[in-house]
Amino acid sequence: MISIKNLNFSYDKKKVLNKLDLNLKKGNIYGLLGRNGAGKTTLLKLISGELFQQKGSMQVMSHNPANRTPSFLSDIFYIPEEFSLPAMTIQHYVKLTSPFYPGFNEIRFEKNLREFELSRKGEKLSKMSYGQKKKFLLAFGLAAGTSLLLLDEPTNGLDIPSKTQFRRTVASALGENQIFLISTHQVRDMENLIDPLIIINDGEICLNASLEQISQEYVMEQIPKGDIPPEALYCESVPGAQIIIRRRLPGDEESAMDMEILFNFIISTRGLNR
Amino acid sequence: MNQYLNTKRLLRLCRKDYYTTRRQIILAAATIGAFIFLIGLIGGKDRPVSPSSYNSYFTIILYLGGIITTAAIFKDRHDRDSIHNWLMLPASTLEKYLVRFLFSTVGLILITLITVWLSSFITSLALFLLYGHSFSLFNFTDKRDIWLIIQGYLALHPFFFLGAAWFRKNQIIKTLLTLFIIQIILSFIGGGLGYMFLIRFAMENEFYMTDQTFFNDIMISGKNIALMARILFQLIIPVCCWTTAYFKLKKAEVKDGI
Repeated sequence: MISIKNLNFSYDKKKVLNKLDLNLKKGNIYGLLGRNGAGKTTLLKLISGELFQQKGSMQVMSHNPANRTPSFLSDIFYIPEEFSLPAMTIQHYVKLTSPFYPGFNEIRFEKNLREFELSRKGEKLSKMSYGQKKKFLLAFGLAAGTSLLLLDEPTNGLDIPSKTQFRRTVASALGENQIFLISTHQVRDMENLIDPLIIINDGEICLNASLEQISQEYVMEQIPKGDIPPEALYCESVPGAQIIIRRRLPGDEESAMDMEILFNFIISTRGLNR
Repeated sequence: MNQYLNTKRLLRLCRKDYYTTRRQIILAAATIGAFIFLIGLIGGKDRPVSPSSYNSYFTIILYLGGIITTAAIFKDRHDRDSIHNWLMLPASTLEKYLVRFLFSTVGLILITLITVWLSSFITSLALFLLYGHSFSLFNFTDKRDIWLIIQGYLALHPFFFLGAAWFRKNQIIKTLLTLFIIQIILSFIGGGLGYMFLIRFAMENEFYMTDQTFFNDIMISGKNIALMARILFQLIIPVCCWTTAYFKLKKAEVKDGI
């Protein structure tokens, strides 16, 4: 559904994405992880057509995003990290904006609003807090019924109960013909939600794999503090112990993966050594 | 689905833009109306406000209001926070362009006509009740005068419309400055051409200021030049400006927002 080949992008002379290849398949909630300035937001903006690629090719749901045709735009919903909302109530916003999205589901939207504890006839959107605005946009975006949902740092500004609700609502909203692509550096917020993982580092994709694929090849173990075993590919100290990542051997049981440690491992080794 | 122009989408866009801006429109119209009313009330003690005064109000409001509105018509396309909404709204660039174009031309002219007429009606009613003056209304059926004013506005519109699409901020000043520079360049070119053709022609042909046939030729040429100027300023330049504005919007990216 999304096919990117040899994508290059620079801001003036600063290279952000370099020969990037990426394929995303429907029915998944992809987690796009990376350090600050790794190019996550730029990639989302290129996929949505907000920026134009300088080299390479992009096909997003059989469209060239740069053309920004109405049929493409009505099949994609992108919630950026920073946004502005007009001075109108939720009721008015939905009345004016939902007709642009043919797949918009009013019942789903009502349900999302209730789950996020928002009311249709409340104060104006522009007067709401950042977290409330974000919850409203999430409720709208998840009800828009688009094939592609792009979320940039969706849990920024959400309180702890809202983060839990966010995970629940997003997980239940995914349809088999949809892709949710969530860019974040708060990996703990996304645990048990995002799979596969895409890790971007210095403008290149250094991982695009499901947690199952990773678990088949690697195990994560907690061992007492002390010497690092020679088979450890990566080691990180935690209070009172250390966690290592090593290759999975025949007979090893599958282990749970801590996403933050996995992320640090991938970044430090610049990809999986397969 | 037509990817360039769809009537349903265009109407949805119009509705969305109207709901977003209606408060400002009503507020601006009410302020202008109140201003006309107050002026009429102050100066209308001895005699009613003449219809020509309303024509002057109409001219000032249309030109000043029109330029200010048109120069800011693509404000959201230049703003870092709202450019995302502009770019991602499911409509074609042509539709987004047309909505703003229609609002800054037909829409604005109609709003100004209605505002001035309503103000003239309320002022006349007040003057009638207070001083017994006869009704004197803004006559927008006076096609010649009103049409000339509208024509003048429509000749100015393309420059400020293009400036609105092109410049990220201070659109009015930058558009005026650009026009001033273009005018200077054109004056130099015109002066150069005038020297090359007129003075050299006169010198080479032993021309004297009393040569009547020469002035007759100039008069005929003058009419042709006036016609050419009309075509240039009322057709070619506007079309060029409007087209350039469209392509400027078409290649807008989110990084253009400041």
